[in-house]
Amino acid sequence: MLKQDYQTWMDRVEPDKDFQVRLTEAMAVQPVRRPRRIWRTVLAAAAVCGVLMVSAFALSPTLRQMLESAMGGYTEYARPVEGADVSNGMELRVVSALNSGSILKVYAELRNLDGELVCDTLRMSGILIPLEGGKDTGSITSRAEWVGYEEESETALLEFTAWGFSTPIGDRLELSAVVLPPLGELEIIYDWKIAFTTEELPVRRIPLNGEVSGTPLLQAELSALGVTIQTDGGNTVDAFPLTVFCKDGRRLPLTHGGGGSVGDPQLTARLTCWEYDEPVEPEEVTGLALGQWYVPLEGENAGRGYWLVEQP
Amino acid sequence: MEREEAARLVEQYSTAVYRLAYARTGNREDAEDITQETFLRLVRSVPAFRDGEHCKAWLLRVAANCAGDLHRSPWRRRAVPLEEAGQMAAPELPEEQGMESAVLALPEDYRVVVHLYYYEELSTAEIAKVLGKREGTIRTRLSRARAMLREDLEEGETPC
Repeated sequence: MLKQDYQTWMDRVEPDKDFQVRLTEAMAVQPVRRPRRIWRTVLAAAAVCGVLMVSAFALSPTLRQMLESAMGGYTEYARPVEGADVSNGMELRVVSALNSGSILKVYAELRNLDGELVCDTLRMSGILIPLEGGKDTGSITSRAEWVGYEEESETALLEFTAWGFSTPIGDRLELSAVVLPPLGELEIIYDWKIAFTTEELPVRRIPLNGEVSGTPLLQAELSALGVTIQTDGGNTVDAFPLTVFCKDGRRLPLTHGGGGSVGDPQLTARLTCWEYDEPVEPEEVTGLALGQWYVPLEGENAGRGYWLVEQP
Repeated sequence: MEREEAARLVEQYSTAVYRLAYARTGNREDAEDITQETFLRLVRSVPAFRDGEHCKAWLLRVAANCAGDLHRSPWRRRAVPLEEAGQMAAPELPEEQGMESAVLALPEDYRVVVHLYYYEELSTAEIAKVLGKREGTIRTRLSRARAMLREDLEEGETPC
């Protein structure tokens, strides 16, 4: 009887046609997020169970596959990290990190200890803070991204990236993350602070000279993750495409990530970071081109820069 | 998103999402807000679904979460709950209004469970999965909700 009465009542509850039209319109004009490659490649990802890229505490086989798929060739460069914090029943646990100093990526799993689903539409934000190094850092760029979600365990995998630390940043770091409140609200319900230790990847630091479009070049930092160029003063080289020249003749275009500054409040230098698609050992690099401005590199020294006749 | 695809999704699922939202809030405007936010999250998230049922379960779960978010919004807390307004209604209600009044007198978390059980005809295990709760919790809520509904509806019956 209850069921029948309930159904009779609810059958009469219907959205207005006008509302449905407006909703369709709103969906049609809404930008669609590009599906992450994790979903395209997760099924093809091979399990590399022997690789110690994640903490022994965390990650199911499925999440591990998702992580490996997201990391691609960086899987073997990743270092396991350990640390967790609980906020209002939600646990955030760091599991793996890639640390080149000026470019830092930390992977963490998020699950609700109370058993409620972790909604993959939660808006996360997080910053990474060196606890010992990075003293001169004025600002950085950071990003939090969903890497994967495992329905069975209702656990999400997240990637936190920071670009532009003044190096060295040391081994002790802190991840400070929050779930951003819904639009129109101010109260933050979930926030975590996790201290952890991670090893820095080898970095090749090369003093630079000369300038590009009036911006003095100070230093290049090369790691397997990418290249960071430090420039003097307020101008940046953000707008320039960066190409790396390798010993084996390859010319690799990099993807601009983010940047930071050194010196606060007195700005003295800017850092601009680019990332490789796949790892490149620092010693493999023989030159850099910022746009068409080419700088040859040898050991820890930079040669005299010159203009290439065409874009590499 | 392609307009045709959006129209298909709205046609196929918006009524179910709207009804769940209405069951939870008892308010048409709030139900529209929740339905819209749920579908926009679908567009933004681009989740991969096994089939239509999987898609529907995802939408219902997000709608239930959105309804919770709406409830936590500070300005909503200052609004007069519909059930309080409902208490001012005339005592002799038609049968359907009696049911509406009785359902909206339930705690909000109970209403969603009642709706998914009686209207979407999900099992308690399926409801637990959709809402991310333990099945025992769902059974308890359902049992209490039934008792409260019966009591409320029996009190409202007019003697012949």
